Amino acid sequence: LTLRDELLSLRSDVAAKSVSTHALLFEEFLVREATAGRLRLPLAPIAPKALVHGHCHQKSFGAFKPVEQVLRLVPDLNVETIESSCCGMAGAFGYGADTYQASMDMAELSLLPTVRRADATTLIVADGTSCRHQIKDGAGRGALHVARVLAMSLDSAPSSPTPPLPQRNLSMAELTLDVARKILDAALAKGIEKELKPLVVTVLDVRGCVKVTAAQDGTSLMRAEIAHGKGYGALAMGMGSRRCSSARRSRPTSSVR
Amino acid sequence: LFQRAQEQAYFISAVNTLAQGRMVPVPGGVLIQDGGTLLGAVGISGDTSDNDEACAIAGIEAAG
Repeated sequence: LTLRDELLSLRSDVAAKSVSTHALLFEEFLVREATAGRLRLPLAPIAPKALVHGHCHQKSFGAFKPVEQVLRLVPDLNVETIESSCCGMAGAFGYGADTYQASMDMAELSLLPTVRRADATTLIVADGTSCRHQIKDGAGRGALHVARVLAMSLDSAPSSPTPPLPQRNLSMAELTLDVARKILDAALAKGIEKELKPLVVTVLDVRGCVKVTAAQDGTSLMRAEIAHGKGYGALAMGMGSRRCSSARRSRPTSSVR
Repeated sequence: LFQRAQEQAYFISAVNTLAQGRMVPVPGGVLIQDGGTLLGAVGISGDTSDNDEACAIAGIEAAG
């Protein structure tokens, strides 16, 4: 909300407006992904009920509904909103000696009594830091941010669906740019030593992505594509292109091009 | 063996179709390996395929 709301008070240029328009709250992002079917979290049941208190800033920007929606992703969790206004803390308002009583009176209107009535198995949820302070100090109950609730639910899942990265992926990093450059330089040097025609040398990583490539002066039009194709073919078949080539040569002559 | 080689030739042709023609199956493409671990590949073009390949091997050997 700092990016969506307060940024525009500091500057009003196009960049600020663009950032403000595109900024998403954590819960809004999760709801968007869940709606699009892109969210697959292994959430497990953690509690029968959650009492949620909305932060004033969330409520004034219509950003509270996603909080409830995200909590409903947790299986078997009965999500209930505490019908309250401001928790009374309002930044430093609740800490001021002359405003402390007003702050507590606001909290006692609905929020704190509701929290006190909640049984021990009920989760108290509040995204606002100062709301959580007020609940802790006024009702002696710890309140949780939605992200903490989701983390608890994820931790309770029997096992992570994300398999560990295969070992092969780790070795990808081993073809460093430094090594790729050494290969490139030595191959070019060999070409010069043997007085060959101008070469294109392309070094690919294990995924087939170009790491480095260089064309000596005077190479013809398609050299870079051919060099890439040779390296790519070797990777694709898991063999040097000479072996690709001998397999190719043995095909019926009518189809050799 | 001839039968097997023929099958292999069609196979390479088919794979290259799948690869949208990105494979060039002539010498000059050499795998970069460290022990048994595949790191990538070098492709060289410019001179004869055999010379291209010799440069690729020289490059890999120079890098250790």
